[in-house]
This record gives sequence, structure tokens and C-alpha cells, in this order.
Amino acid sequence: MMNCREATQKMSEELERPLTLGEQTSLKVHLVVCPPCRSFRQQAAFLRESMRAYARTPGDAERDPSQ
Amino acid sequence: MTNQSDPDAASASAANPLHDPQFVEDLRRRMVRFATLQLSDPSLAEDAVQEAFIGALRGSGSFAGRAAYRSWVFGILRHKIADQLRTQTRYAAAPVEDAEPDPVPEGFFEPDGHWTKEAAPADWGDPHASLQDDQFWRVFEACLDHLPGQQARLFMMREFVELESPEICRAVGISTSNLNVSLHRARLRLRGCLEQHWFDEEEASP
Repeated sequence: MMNCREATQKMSEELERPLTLGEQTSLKVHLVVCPPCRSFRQQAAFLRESMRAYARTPGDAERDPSQ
Repeated sequence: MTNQSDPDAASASAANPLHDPQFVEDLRRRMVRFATLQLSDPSLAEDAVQEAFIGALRGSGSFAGRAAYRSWVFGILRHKIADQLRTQTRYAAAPVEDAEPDPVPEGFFEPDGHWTKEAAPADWGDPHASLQDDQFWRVFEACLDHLPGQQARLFMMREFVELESPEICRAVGISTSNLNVSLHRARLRLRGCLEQHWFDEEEASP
């Protein structure tokens, strides 16, 4: 049974390559019983999204809030 | 050196960010730091930053302000670094020192591999509103700055310069599994830092 360290490793790798079916299954099983890892998965995706936003508009107090 | 009490200087610099030497110097310093981390070569980094500023000059009349200018010049730098790193793949890359790149983050997991009580991710709800919050970006930047060197370098290559994993492995001369270990650690740290300094705080103060 996958533990949280392994699960987060897989969720990080998921952003780099498609997981194998076996990996997907083990991960799914883990996520069903592990709310913190479910949060991690959403947050890892959010990190990527934030970095893309940051790359386009590095943090700056003068950003136009309407954008 | 700064001229903040002079209203004319202030309005001039609002109109053209290049008229504020402090702003330009801060920006340049940040860019050099970033380029040096990415390229592992101070003189290549200086060149890339120089070229980015020159490139940006061509459009400097049309900027709405500092933020727009900063995005623009950083965007040019990003592309220059991506090009440089892609070229670098043809040569023997920077020295390989990734056997054990950065310390394993302590305190994240128990010996059995389960989250420690302190590190277990909380539910952030929908975090997207934060993307519109300037204060969030300050925290975000500070958290990025706190990543250990090699993790920061690889994470920024992947998520900011937006190279693909195989390109990074070629440019830096590391294996895929080493890259994946570093990215995993960087993500653990960064989300932990954001939770501690932003998403937790938000909850604490209504």
C-alpha cells in the first residue's frame, strides 16, 4: 500500500509524465482514504498554475487589479 | 541616491519606469540573480540580462507602468535563458553535482512515510482569488527565494522558464529520477511555505 511520501512523489511525477495504469490505480486507492494527499494534489496543480501566472506578471504591487 | 521626496521625479518615474534608477537597479539585481542561478555562469547571465534590457528598450515607450515593464523585460530574459539552456545541451553541461542535490526536507513525513501532523496539507478551498492579491505574490516570491539552490534552479527551469523535463535533464546533466526527486521536494516546500505564510494566516485573520 502506497504511503503519503510515495503518493506525493507520484503526484509530482504526474506533472512530468503520464503515470502508468498501475501507478494510477495505487494512487487512486491511496487518495480515497487520504484527505491531506487529496489537498496536495490540488495544490501541486495550483502551484503550476501560479508559476505560469507569475511568469507572465511577476508579483508587483502595481498590477492592474482588473486583469 | 533615491529621489523619493521629489514629486517631479516621482511622476516622471511613474510615466517611464526607466527614469527611476532605484527601480531599474532592483530589477536588474533580481534578474542577474535569477539568470545566474539558471545558467550557472555569471558572465552568460550578465549578457542575458543586458540583452533583455536592450530588447525591452525597443518597446519602452508603450508601458503602462513598472509592472508592465517588469513583466516585459523578465519575459524577454525568460526566453533568452530558455534558448541558452537549450543550446547548452550540445555541450557538456555544468558540473554534475546532483548525487544528493539538497537535503531531504525534514519534518514532512514520519519514518513510515505518512504526513507528520504539522506538515499534512490543509484544505485551501479555492485558492484562485489569491492570484489577484498583491500581498499573495510577495509571499509567493519570498517562498520561492527560500527554496534551496539546486531545487530552486530546477523548479524554476521547469515552471518559470517552462522547459520540459527531458530538456532540463540534458541541459543540467542529471537523470530523470534525480530531477523528479528535486521537483517533488521543491513542491513540498513551496506548498508548505504558502500554507504557513498565506493560507493559514488568511484563515486566522477574518
